Amino acid sequence: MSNLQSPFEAKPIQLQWGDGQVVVTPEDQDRFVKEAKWAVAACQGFIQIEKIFAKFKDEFLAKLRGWCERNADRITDCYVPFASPHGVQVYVIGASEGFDFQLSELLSELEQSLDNDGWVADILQLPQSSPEMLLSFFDPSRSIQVYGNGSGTPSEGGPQPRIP
Amino acid sequence: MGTEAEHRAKADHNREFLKGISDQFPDWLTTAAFYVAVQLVEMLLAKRAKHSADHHQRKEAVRRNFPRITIAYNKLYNASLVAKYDSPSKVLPADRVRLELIDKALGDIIKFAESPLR
Repeated sequence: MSNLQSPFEAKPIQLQWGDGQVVVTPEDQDRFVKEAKWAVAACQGFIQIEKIFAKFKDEFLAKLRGWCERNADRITDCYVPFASPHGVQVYVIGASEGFDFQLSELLSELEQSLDNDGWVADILQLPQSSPEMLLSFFDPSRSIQVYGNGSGTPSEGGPQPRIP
Repeated sequence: MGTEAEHRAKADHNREFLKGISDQFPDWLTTAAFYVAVQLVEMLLAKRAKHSADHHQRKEAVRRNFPRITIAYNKLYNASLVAKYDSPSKVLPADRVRLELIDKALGDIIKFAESPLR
């Protein structure tokens, strides 16, 4: 019997949205601060860490969330993994099982818009897919779920291999 | 880090390979098309005495330096990443890869790279 644990036993950090403000649920606050230290790399060095977190949450995540809401017909979920060696990485799960060319164009525009605001992010779409496929790219349990209810994420499944 | 001529030669080499790939392998059509684009972008960067170290830097470099081909390049980049891991039954069919990715997206990048007015 394998002693590997399913990565889906842990859940993404959940955010609450309302009145234009982003709030990390109280139970996830410590984890958010601890795990989101990677965001420092994407920000200006002179800004204090607390301000960076606030800026990241209130500007980047809020803009991303707004975009997701406006494109709800094309996507089901959006995740920002904690640790990316290349700065901020965003995965948008498309509503279709195939690669969506129009969504790709919209994501390029979103990247440009974020870049104009000073946020360099690599945004990728992933089609609705299997657990193996998603885990090839990121671990939802070590990410912030910016949008969706996880329907683009497998809700069950045994130990899955990590493909580097 | 290669010279402009070296990247051009590699792009031509990859295009020859792309021509030989059967419709039976749309995932490899996608991947090969992307690597033609990579070499063309590196060729354009080399012409400006620039270089990108990885896919992330290159994507940003395209957005900053060559905005006219950003959408085309991002389609190839993202589709090739998905094609690498998607099951064969879910990969884009070859006719769509040829139309959307090779004829349109890669075609735009080739045209841009070869344009004297760039």
